[in-house]
Amino acid sequence: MDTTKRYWIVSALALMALFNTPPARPQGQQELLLFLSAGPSYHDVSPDDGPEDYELFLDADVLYSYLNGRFRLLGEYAASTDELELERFQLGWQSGQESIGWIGRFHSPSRYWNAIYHHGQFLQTSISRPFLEQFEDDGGVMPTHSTGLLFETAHKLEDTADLRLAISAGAAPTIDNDELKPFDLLDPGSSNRAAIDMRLAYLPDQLDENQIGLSLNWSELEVDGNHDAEQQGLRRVEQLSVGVYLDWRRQAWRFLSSVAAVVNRMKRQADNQTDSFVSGYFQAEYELRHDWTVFGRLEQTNNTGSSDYLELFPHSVTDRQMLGLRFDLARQHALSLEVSRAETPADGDFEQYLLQWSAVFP
Amino acid sequence: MSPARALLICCLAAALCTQAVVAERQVVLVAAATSPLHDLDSLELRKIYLGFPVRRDDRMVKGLRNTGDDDLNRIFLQSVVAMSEKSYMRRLLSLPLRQGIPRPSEYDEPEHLLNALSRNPYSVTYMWKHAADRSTDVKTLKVLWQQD
Repeated sequence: MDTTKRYWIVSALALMALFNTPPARPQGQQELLLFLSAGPSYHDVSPDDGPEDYELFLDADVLYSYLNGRFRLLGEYAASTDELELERFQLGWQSGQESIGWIGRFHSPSRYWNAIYHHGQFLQTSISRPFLEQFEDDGGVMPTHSTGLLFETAHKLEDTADLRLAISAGAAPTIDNDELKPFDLLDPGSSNRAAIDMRLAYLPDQLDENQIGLSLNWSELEVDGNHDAEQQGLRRVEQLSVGVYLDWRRQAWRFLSSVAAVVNRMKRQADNQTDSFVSGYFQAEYELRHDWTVFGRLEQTNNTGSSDYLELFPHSVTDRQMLGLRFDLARQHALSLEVSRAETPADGDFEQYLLQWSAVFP
Repeated sequence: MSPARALLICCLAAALCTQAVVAERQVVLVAAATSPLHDLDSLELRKIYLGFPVRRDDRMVKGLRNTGDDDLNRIFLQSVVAMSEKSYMRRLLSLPLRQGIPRPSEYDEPEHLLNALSRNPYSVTYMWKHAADRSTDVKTLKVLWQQD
């Protein structure tokens, strides 16, 4: 589908969201949401070295959900200064009180950050995402989208505790030029291979959101369009990542953290080679009075210099020390400021300044 | 009339007035008068308004929000979902975003709320007790809050 048509679609959906009043029908129930965010960013590196030194970004995310009895439909379309993409399109059937099966394109369940925020930038306290949670087209080196089957279920433990499992099998992204390229429902390719994802979460209180969990992803990433990789005779990468995560709130504090070990089996024409790296982040948020929130994040990745796999993504931010401030205003709007010291394998250290307005409608 | 009798009448009148005032300061959970719903405990009610599935007769019970009165909304947030407005708004936004479940419908106008309630017998809402007592279209399921 060409860019103009995609713009027309997303504009129509955005207008519908702005004037949407969900009808209360006895059978079906639907909702259209529009998440908007915009602002300037500045990096103190020259454009030749990688990221643009000054950018103005604008993101619109349109989300449609429909519920009728046990049937659910969820669609999410993102339009920004960088991309136009059908992010999610999934049909679900609730098979029991706590179980649902989905078919379609969805966010990989092994990435917890994506599972809670998706593209709803307004809900996310920080402006930037950690390296482990980056989307494929924004420097992510692990799959964040899959197309296939997803099953989610919950099992009640004693008292109020809950054990939740999400498991999926579907099409993995391919390795394109400088980025992973997930399967596109509107422009399906044929070189996507398999991906399996799993997230297991323990919640001490099923109605609360505090949780700790395990995540696992196995993907076959076919090289398709990455000239450097093709010249080196790289055909595909078998990637396994195993991680743990934590999301915990206590009074005015919130802590979000994840660590994952990633093993990459590089399948070349001549020989196979294996490399690995470990990446993690710890984000703390503190809600001050009068709708102010102060937050910070530390993230680090080891083996960035020796991983052949990471060399395929030279401009991905692998390390970061960040501080930020957010102000929530008028219920559905927020202003955020973020200052980072970031590092990429190709560009080394640089400073990054982000300012963002974000909102949700209606 | 003897002084004792007059005093008794005054006491009874005062008691009735107090009852009336208390009745006005109660928030009750209601369903349509024809609804088969009759028992929803506090945990189930919290689940309904947080988007968790609660079923009766294999039908999902829906919670409708009564947003026309600030005091009523504040009591709902404190007594039913036990959250600040900001936290609750974020939880509701995550329903369509994460699970494809639309947020509970909101109604500013009492007649629109009553119409929605009558269209779906498996839906509930909350209102002041005096408003519930005045309407023949609803039945009271339980008292959610009472002024001390």
